[in-house]
Amino acid sequence: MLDKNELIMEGLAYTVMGIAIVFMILVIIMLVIKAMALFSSDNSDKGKKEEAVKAQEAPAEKKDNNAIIAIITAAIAAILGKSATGFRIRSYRKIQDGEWNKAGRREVLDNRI
Amino acid sequence: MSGFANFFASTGIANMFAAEGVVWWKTVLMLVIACVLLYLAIVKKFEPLLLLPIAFGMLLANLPLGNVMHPELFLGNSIDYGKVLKEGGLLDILYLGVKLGIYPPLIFLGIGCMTDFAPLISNPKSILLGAAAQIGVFITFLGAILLGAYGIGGFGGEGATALDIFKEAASIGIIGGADGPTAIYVTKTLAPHLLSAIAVAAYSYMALVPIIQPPIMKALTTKEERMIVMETLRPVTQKEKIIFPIVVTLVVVLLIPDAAPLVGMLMLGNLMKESGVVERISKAAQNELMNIITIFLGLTVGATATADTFLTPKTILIICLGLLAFSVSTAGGVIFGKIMCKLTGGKVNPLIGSAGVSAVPMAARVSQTVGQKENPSNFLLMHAMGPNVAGVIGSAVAAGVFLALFK
Repeated sequence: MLDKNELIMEGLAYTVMGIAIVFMILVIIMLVIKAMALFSSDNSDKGKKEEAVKAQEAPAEKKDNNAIIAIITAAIAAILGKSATGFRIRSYRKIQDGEWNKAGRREVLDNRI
Repeated sequence: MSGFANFFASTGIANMFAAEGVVWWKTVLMLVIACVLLYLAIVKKFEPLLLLPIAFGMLLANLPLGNVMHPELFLGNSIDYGKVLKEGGLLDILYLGVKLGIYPPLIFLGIGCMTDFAPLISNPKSILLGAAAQIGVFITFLGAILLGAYGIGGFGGEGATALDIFKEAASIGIIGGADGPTAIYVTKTLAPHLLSAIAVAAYSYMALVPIIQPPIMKALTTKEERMIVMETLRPVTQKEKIIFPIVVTLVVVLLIPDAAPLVGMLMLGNLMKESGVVERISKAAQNELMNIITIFLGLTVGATATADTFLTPKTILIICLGLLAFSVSTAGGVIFGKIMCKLTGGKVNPLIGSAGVSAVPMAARVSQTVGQKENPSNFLLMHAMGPNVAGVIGSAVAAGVFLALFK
């Protein structure tokens, strides 16, 4: 017959040890990832930040709008089920985070996952 | 007339009642259980990709005289593989892939090809949630030992040694990792006689993640915490994505060599995906190879469920302990998420903690859904993917720990 207390104590020791080892290894991986981020970004990071600043400064209107207009045209044509020759986009503007925006994102998410 | 009598004597029906050692109602009950599992897979869509082959394997193996599977060939410590090849049926030969630990790592190879570790690389802290959600594994391990110590459920069997009990307890605990291949890999090594019960429990609960997790997540968090919007993740460079699988393999395998088959294959698959130079084999691994292995794995794991090994009080206990494992793992992740929330001054939404149980991407999706109920404009999915993929690594490490301790 096994000794109950001994068994439970041994099991408890393994439990604590197991949790500790899992945490230890994942913490090491975390540190490695952090170190990796430092290494892989130290030469490219500065350039990127500058680029990002530039991108913010540059007014959005300067960009070529043709691609965006083409996408909107295609989307409207798809929804209407008609060819894209029957209408013309005269102007468009971005709405900040409206309800339709959210609903659209949610639908895409729900379909994908 | 004697021809007819001979034919009747050769049917499974005659043998169901005449077979030695197996009580007929147990065979019938096993067939009923197999059909119930088929129902759950087909109608209720419980992880059908695995549950359907598992249930059908169970059905096939329990029909008398089918001779597709001989679990007795695999009993004992020294298996006569020559005998398996000579006398084995179809499923015995396929079962070699489970017994020798070939299928689960190959599944991991495919999973690696499909997993994007970018959310984890961009938010390294989230890996801790993947560790916290393994607590259920170890708590359940301890729970099974307690039951064993008091002789409940016959853990370890007659005259069991402490090691026998630990082996069974570890196999049951690993259900909490919410990772089918890992659970199968551990169980086939430590407690092969529990394989079918543990596989059925693991895959059933994985399918039930959207039902099991939300009440626990809601009970442990406040409305304000659930509404927290997290900062956008930084973009990850391809260089980081390529280095990641290599360094994780180095770290994990150097520390826990027993996790090498699982973690090694997972990271190989991921390297194949992220390197971008071997698209052909990456596609083969995540589609054809993984599908083929899934069929073999499910079918043979189900076929190990014979009346003798499955219709025991232990199976019921395994099902209960599996639920405990899942719940405690979920709670562990959420509680650790709360701690991180406090430490970061409210930048972490504790709901992403529950995604630390593997079950990719189901658990992350649950975090997203529960979060969106409180704050419809909140998108937690990508944040939850970090702990979610960390959970895969975490449960493979937990498996490695168990194997190293009790093999």
